[in-house]
Amino acid sequence: MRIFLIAGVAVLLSLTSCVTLLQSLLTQDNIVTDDRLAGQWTGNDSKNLLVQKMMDSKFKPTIQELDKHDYTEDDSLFFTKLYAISFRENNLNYSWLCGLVRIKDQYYLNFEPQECLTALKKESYTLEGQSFFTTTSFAKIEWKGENDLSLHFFNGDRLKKIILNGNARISYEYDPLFETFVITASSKELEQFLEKYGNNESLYDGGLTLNLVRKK
Amino acid sequence: MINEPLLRAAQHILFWVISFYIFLYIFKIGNKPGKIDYVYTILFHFFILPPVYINLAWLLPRLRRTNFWMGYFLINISLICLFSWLNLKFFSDWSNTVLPGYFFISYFNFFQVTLFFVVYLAISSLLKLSKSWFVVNSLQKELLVVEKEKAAREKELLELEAKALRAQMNPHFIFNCLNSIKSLMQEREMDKGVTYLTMFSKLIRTLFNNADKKEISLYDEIETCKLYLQLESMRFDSRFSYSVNIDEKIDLKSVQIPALIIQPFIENAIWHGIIPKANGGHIDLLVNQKNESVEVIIDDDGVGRAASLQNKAGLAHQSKGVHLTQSRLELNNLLQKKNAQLEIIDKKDDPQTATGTKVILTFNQAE
Repeated sequence: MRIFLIAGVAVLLSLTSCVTLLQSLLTQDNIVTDDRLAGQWTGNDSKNLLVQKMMDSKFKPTIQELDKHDYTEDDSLFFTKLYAISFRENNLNYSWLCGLVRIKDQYYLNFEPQECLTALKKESYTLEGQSFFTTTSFAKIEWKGENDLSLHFFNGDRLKKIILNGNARISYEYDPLFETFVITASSKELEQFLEKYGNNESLYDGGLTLNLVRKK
Repeated sequence: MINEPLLRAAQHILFWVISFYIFLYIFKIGNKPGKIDYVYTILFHFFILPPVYINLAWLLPRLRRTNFWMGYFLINISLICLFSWLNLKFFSDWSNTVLPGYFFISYFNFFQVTLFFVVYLAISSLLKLSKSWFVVNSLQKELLVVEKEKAAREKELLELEAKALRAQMNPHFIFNCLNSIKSLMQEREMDKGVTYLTMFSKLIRTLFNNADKKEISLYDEIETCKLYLQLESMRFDSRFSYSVNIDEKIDLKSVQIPALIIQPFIENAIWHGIIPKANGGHIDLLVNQKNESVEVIIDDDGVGRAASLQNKAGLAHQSKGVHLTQSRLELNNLLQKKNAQLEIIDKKDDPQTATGTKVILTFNQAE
């Protein structure tokens, strides 16, 4: 199957230099929840983000879907820990599923794009059922207060350069023709990566930081 | 010739170079090994080297000396755990400080590292043991060759000794014969002396013919003995009589015995048994078949060995020929893998008076 490396989430958030992962950072062992996360948030450019628990969102799986995919009890538990984030820009509604991860007392948010719909809710770009894999990205969460948080993204270009220069030992795929680059390390390896370099400031230098304030 | 330590060092370097390239291709992240893979593989080897060389240089030789397997395994397990932990600690924590420009992310967990170490210790131990096996095997082969050479030399030495003993025998016998002829000459018995000399020359020719032979037929030996008995009988003017009785069933020519093995006993019977006896005596030379053996008996009715020893004032005068013959029989048994036996019986009558000596030589035909 041909793999399309979708960097949709990065494009949507204008995070052109964020890290793109083939494997999600989320595992059943490291996923956590934080009630503070749900709510309406306003970004630095006054854009609004709606963060909901997945089970309260439109992505809540139906009984039929659960049966269809033969989900286990652990999977169901996993779903309850996910968040859905909605965002609107250029007359398009974007949605992602996110998971909160705790690694060495540090929280990270893993993003996975779900859909991109027109204002009339006509499907313009859905990922389900297509012949490609979705990619994910992550950001470090810094709580500045109950209603104030920052999302720090790795500088993807810098990390890409480090990896392509042969200074980092992590699995990746690189297509020089389209300049597409994705880290293909397993969830466990990604966890090791963040355990070790999650607080390495040099990897965040030049990366995007989103400051979010809870909407009153 | 290649310097041994240099060759050993070359073998070790070759081993580690091969190991490096194998690991490099196991560890590589991309399609081709990158800089990080080279660095990672080198660093990984730094942690393998100490336990491997501690095992090779100290633990294995110690095990060979003490045979203390439990201690060996315990120390090895401790080494593996210690260096696996150091490996893990280095790549998970210390590498940040030591090599800040490098990002070691996909490193192995403790169990995986331990497995690598176990495999390495096992391979290096097996290589060392197989090398030792080859060395021991080679030494054993060399030892076998040396032992064979030694055995060949010993056999050669024994043959030379046997030859020397035969050479000693002949002058001894000749000396006695010439003494007999001298006695005849002194007693002016010229005809007897000439006959004696003729027979002696006949005997000497026989002896010369047999001189270089390890073995001769029993027939030749008996003929020599007959000549000798005749000579001595003439020499002592029939002071003793003799008879030769041979079992007709025995093919004397087919029985091989050491040359001149019987004659010394006849000589003893005459000179130390009969001659000291005032009224002379008789010697029987019998050849019998006994089961699968041929038995040669020299039976005299002389004074016996005890009286002979007293007459000669001690062991110094005991027949040199008997001693030589015994040695020759032993050597011959050893070299030819035969089982010839010598038995000397001191004959006595009822009041324990010596009535002569009986010598039984048994040659086992089955050997």
